[in-house]
Amino acid sequence: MLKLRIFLFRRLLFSIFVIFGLSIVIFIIARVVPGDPARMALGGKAPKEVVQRLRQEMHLDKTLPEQYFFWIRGVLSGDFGRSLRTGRTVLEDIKIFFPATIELVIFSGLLTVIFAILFGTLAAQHKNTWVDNLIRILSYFGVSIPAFVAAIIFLLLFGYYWTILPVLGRLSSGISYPTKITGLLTIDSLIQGNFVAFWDAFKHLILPSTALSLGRLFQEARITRSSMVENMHKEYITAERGYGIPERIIMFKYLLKPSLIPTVSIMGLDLAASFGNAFLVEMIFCWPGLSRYGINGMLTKDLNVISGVIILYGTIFVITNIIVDIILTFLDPRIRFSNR
Amino acid sequence: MRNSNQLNNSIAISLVRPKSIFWLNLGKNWYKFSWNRLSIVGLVIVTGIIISAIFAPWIIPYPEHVGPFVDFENALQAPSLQYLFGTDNIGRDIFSRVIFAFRGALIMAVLVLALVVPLGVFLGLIAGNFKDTWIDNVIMRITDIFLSVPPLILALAIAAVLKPTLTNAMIAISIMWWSWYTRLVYGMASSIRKEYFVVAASLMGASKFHIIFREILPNCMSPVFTKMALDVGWIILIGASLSFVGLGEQPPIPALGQMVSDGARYMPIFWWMTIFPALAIVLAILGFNLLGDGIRDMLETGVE
Repeated sequence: MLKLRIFLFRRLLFSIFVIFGLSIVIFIIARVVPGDPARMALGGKAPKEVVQRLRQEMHLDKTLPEQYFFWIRGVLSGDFGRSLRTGRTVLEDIKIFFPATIELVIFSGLLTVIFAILFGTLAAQHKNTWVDNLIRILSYFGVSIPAFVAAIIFLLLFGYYWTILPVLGRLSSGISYPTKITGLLTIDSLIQGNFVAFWDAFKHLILPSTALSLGRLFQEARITRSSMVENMHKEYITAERGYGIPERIIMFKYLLKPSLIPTVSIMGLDLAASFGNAFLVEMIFCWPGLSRYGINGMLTKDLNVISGVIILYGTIFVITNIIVDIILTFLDPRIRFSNR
Repeated sequence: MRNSNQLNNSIAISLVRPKSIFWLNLGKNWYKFSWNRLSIVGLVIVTGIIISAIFAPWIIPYPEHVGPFVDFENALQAPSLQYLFGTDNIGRDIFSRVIFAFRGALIMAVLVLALVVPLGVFLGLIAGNFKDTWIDNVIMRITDIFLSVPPLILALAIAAVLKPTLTNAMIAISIMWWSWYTRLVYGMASSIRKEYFVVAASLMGASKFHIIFREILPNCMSPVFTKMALDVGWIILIGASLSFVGLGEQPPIPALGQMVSDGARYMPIFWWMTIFPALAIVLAILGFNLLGDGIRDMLETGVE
């Protein structure tokens, strides 16, 4: 266990370094590349004195390292500056919009895990039959359909032809929002026993999260399948068959668990990457989340929003990787006891 | 992997640098590649895309429709023999525009790779060869920073602060993409440098330059080629995502993502404006994925 703790400590230190480096990259993107941020914030018509005052407020009259120092000091205390578009501070906006994105990403993550393992196991069990082939073909198409194309096709199918699922927003207009506790509508409404709102919020989640998870779902199913097929021929499985352990228990207890190692390690990366894919999906489904906020910020060149959202997502990505490492040590005792 | 097998068999063999086996074993490689029918499908799709991209100006039926062309009499026509994929809201032939957008997407992917692969491979080689020195640390820690954010997020941000042009979209993608090659080659190079044929070369007095570029580099190339084939598809995807939100090639010049998002406003009745460009994106990614898998099977399986 001691080794595990050292390993995690080193990972943590390393992650802090990565986020620090990322902040420099973002600083360069948001402050250095576009020219004069003060001029951009105020527009071309603002008088010179006002621009000059804002330049001083933003410390733009200092040298670049000093500017970075002032900026990173603000970021560390949660101050990303103000959004030009909403007028609120970026931190307030993050608090408002982030729960919607978390809800979407978590739900699509759940969908991915459940169906990836289900399809992967099915394909491995029925290796080289039509089931396996069907899942293989589906996986090739699943990987090739970008999230935004899937979203548009869903919009067409369900928005116009087959209106059984809502396609816009998080909640129908007739239903009042549950009181905010976690910000996740499904959980909030469940806690308060508001089942009408829960069902409605749940239905709104289905299409965006399916569009978001489609690609990685089948990819992970393929990885699970090939890993299971590989493990099937290991000697310990043959030994267990010899002992007469029921096939079902072999399948789920002894075969599935070690076979999930490659799936889990790619799943973490995918989950974090889906915050990025959510940019377009949220835009298409009018999902009032942080990714839509971020992309609107990007399109209006709202530099504080851009840097705030990217720092947040980068941090999430790095933290997810640490969590994945921890999960892997539970799945694979070899990692736990090795000298990594 | 092949090298370590040789090590076990006989050191004498492994002192000789493995020759580039691709051209020598063309027949066998083709056999391995064509063994999987899906690889052939991929090859056919990719060949079709490349040919139509190269010869786009000659094969598209309405070359003037890729520019600022307006023909309101034929606006929003359904797909027919005259207009294979129908026409858009100002009467331009979607088929011509899709083929032309393919050309743009492919050129972008090739240029990005041409920029990114040499840089990424070079950095990876240097870092791998000087593993555990400060050179390795500096290069790989910077690489880790770029690997720490999903490429789409940073590419969007970079493209957004720059002016929305095709060149800037390419720059944005390139800034994100080199790190994957560095990581890939780093892993290979740092293990290959310990192989006996490399050690033998350095004992014979070969220069660092010779060792890195003549001994290590050729043996890192198989996974790089595989990744390049797969990446063409992914770069087309990221490029389409950028142009979907309006960053990238600007109208009237067509881009795949831009056509999808323009058409979305005319859904559901005029579905062809969206569906055909969308299918084109799917087809491109599918083709390069299948081809990439085929190349991987061909170059990397140890089964002889």
